[in-house]
Amino acid sequence: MPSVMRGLAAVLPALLAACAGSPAVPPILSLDGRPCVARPDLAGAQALALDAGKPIKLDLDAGAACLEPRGGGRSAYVAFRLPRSEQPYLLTVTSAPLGDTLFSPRLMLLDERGKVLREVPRDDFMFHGVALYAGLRAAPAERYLIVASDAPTVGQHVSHIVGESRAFPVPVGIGAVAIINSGSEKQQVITYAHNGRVTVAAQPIPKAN
Amino acid sequence: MRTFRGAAVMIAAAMVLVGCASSQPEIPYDRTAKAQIKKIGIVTPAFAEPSVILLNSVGSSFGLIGALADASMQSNRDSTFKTLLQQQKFSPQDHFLERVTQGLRAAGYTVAIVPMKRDGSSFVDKYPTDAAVDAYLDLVAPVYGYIANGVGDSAPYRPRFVVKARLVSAKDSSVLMQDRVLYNPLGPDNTAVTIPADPALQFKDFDALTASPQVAVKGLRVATEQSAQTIAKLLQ
Repeated sequence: MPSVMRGLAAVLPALLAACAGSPAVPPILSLDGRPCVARPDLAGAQALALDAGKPIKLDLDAGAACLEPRGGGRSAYVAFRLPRSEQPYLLTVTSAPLGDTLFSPRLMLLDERGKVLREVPRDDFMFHGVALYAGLRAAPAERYLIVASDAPTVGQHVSHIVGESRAFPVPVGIGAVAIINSGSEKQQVITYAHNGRVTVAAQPIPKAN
Repeated sequence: MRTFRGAAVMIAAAMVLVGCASSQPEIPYDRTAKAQIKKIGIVTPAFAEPSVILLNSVGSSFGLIGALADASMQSNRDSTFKTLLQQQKFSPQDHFLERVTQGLRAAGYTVAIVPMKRDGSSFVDKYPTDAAVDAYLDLVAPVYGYIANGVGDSAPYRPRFVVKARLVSAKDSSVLMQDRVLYNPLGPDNTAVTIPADPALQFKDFDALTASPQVAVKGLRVATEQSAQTIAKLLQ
């Protein structure tokens, strides 16, 4: 076997593995039966650093905490303690799909005493590819972030067209290989859910260039 | 000359592949400044020529010769599509500006149009000082038209619209918002707001696209409108 072909054979499994998507996770569409609290537990909030290189990525699953305010619906949630900063900074929240399941997010920003200062509804999130993203300028008085699921949108679907490119090695003569490119697309139907993968990051507001 | 033109077209196609990714970071709107921003001046948007891009073409597998053949074919598609838009009397630039203006007015802003001569695909270096506005909205559309991810039924032509937006304070030139909007992103993109394409608006190949000019314009009109709505939403 020519060395080029041997090399291709060696890297092909790695290339195929890189093409594989995130693992399939069934969507959680109901929080019935889960113990819920009326106010978020801030004592267990994870500390977020003011450092773009230190985002917190976590999966909300069947074990996620549940919030049920008086007169409101049930939400899975996670709390973060925000960094201390004299200046506003950029706070980003991204919900990325796990298979075809996407956590449907909304946000609450709380002060030191747990009072809600600002809410960011689900509608303010925008797509970044197949992920949902919100970027906001956090104020120094905002000390906690609650990322909660948006019950009214859970169970809804959205479809995305995702392009795929492939490169096929084709032997042409002894030891020579031509790479043939081809492209196609597929439709990915995503379900909004109470579970999924969330990434939160804080960083100084970038300078425009 | 023909080679240079071919190279330029290939560079443009490469930009499309990465969604015209730039080093310009996303900066969310400074809503604390919103109370002071009542009147927005939209400077004349910078629009490139319309294009019809075919990714992963057969030619892309055959080095420079294939690339030059691709460039020639793309150039033909681009000019045919441009003529189609003219015959249908559709100006993406005018329609986009009209819809952004509507969206901003619906969001409570007063809007003025600030005429400027635009070159290239960069934001304006220096905004006028005599316009009585609180902020300037700078819009650049480097790519718009149609795109297919390959040849064949599994990769139809769909509308594509890419626009960069920046809101700059007239008082101190600080950047109050900056983002990029991509209609029909095709690939993953975590540096821009993306809008999924309408699966119903597609053409199996370029001939089918040119055979239905009204539908082709409708597709681009939808892409233009949704991109304009997104720009307005970024400023709410």
